[in-house]
Amino acid sequence: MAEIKLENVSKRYGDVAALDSANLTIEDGSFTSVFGPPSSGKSVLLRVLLGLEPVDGGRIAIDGKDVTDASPNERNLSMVFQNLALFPQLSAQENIVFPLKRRAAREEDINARLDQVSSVLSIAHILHKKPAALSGGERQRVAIGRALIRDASAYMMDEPIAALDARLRDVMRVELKRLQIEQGRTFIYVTHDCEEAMSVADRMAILEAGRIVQVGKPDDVYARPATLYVAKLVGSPGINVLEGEGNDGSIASVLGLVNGQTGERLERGQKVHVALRPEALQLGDPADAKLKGQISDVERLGGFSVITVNNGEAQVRAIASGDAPHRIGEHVGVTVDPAGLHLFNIEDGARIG
Amino acid sequence: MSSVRLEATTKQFGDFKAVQSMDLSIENGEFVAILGPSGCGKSTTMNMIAGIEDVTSGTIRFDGRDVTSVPVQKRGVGFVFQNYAIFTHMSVRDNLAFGLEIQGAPKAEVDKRVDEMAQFMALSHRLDAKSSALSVNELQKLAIGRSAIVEPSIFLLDEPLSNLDAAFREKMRAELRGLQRALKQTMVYVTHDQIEAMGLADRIAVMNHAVLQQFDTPDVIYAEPANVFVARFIGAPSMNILHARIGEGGVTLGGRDADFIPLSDHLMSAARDLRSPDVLFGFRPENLALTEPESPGSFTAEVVLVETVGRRNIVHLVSGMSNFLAVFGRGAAPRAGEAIGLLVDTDRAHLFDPETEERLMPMEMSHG
Repeated sequence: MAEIKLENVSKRYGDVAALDSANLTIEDGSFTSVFGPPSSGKSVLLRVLLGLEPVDGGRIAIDGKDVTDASPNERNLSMVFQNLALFPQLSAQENIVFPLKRRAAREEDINARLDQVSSVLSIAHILHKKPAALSGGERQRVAIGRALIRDASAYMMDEPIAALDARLRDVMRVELKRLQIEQGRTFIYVTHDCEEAMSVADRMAILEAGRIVQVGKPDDVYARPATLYVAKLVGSPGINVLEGEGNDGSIASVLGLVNGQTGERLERGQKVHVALRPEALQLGDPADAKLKGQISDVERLGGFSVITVNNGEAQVRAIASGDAPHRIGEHVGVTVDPAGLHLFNIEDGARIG
Repeated sequence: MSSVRLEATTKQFGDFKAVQSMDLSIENGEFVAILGPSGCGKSTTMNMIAGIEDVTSGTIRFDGRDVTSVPVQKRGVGFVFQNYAIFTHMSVRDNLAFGLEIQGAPKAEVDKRVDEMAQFMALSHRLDAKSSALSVNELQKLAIGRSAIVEPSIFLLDEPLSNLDAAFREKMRAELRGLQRALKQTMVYVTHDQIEAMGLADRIAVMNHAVLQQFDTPDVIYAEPANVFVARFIGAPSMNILHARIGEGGVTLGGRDADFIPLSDHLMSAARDLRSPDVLFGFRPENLALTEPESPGSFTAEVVLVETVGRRNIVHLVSGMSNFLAVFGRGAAPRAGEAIGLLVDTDRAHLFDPETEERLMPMEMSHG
């Protein structure tokens, strides 16, 4: 168990800054997801934490002890890789106990740990099988078991369920979350899947080109994205972004005035990015709203529909109920719930207000 | 444009039945998705329509004409595969023009249609680029454009979006819908992704274990699934399907009176022919509403775990021996360990036969 701290950690490959003064504190017993698009530095962050790569600057501490130059073994971190790396010739059980055997642990300790891990992961009945005879989900559990059997300071996972099909991913992410809550161990989880990053973790760290741009509870990140980049990355369907400017308390956008006192933080004429969550948009009579357009697409997805409203210059997508009676070509007005409206600087994308 | 009809079409590989006596009637200009898990027979079905795969028995008709033994190149079908077969040494323009030139279309018409398609696919600025220089997303657009431009009588797409990232998939779904509205081609679209099938198709053919399970509009498939398989496969998170027992005016979960859920007479009528009181009770996670524990008509459950995923909270619940899910909006986030009251929207709930797993049909409501 340990608190892990990265202070101004940088890692360069030639001219590319894979990590750029990254700061992150991972609390003892927390479940932190590290989230970002491909090549934003997620896997590099794990590798420098594990000690697989030296850093070019900054400091890494585990429980207050500087481990920046320590070897992987001295850091006592456990890892589940994306490609599992199970030994095909060994049974599930032999794979799981391998890290303990290698450390020449006592037989009865090994058996006690094995019992505990296999009961937590519900894999006691498959321990005798070789990896080739296991399903994708079972193999994944074995790989996680092999990581958990060690008494490590923290457990790292790099896209551990990315290779599974959608239904199994939904099941596994909940199992991982439950496991972490029950055991109270420190988990660090790298993923490019936003829903997964939000679902499993109690804190998420978001990477942009090697920099950590926001750290917080998933719900807080969603409700108050720190930058336009974060707002666009988090949430599905994606957030709508319009150009707008302050207009005496309201906001003028290319689709018309956004309702309410939403622009009171702005100077008159101040240009901004106006970001609107699709679920915050309510469609109604065009006479009742200043933001308006024509429906150009209706996507009915069962439990909900995604409606695209277009005025020739810009468009927004709104979420409506699954049986919403909207039709393509219909003229509609859009009212905005201020809780789903975010303003960002036009130059640097920083949050306003 | 053509209509497509499969009559008792079967495909067998040795002892393995890939497609079992499939009847499917696709109308002229219709967009049909064939949906199912891997190995269900959906790609084999499409390959038989294309003529890439022989049928073992049964008949395939285009516009009523028997094409069962017509070879692939004479069927007038266009394809887009998951791994776009693009000529990488050729420019975007030449790739788009290829099919029209083979057909011997006049130069002026080729140029005009290439420009139109490039504009439609937002590739106009890339027309002179080498295909090898395109991004994965652009390549897939080119693959779709190249097949669509020759306006085949039937347009077949096999998982065309599955290599693309999530945000781009959303965008491409909208573009494909636009393409189909503009070209009015008959489209058959194979996918394992229920969201794609729901969002794109006029009708969905759901397959499992080589057998067609249901063929209907997305709305009907979602609201009135034919059986437990379809009910679970459509919608995310999946429909809750719990063992229940029929009682007076409702069901009890796991046989406990404390978990009595009153149902409408309409829904109860579905159980009229059941021989035992055991039934499967199905309701979608989004059709549960949060209420005070013990309030009238509600049942009580304990919160096991909450996933907060943006605009919605996925709440994992346990009641008696039953585990199930609820989806609430951002405002409602009960805490793990808390006991909550739940109201089921019984107008949107279902009963299934526990043996056949078929949905039990309520009696038609009499008018007046």
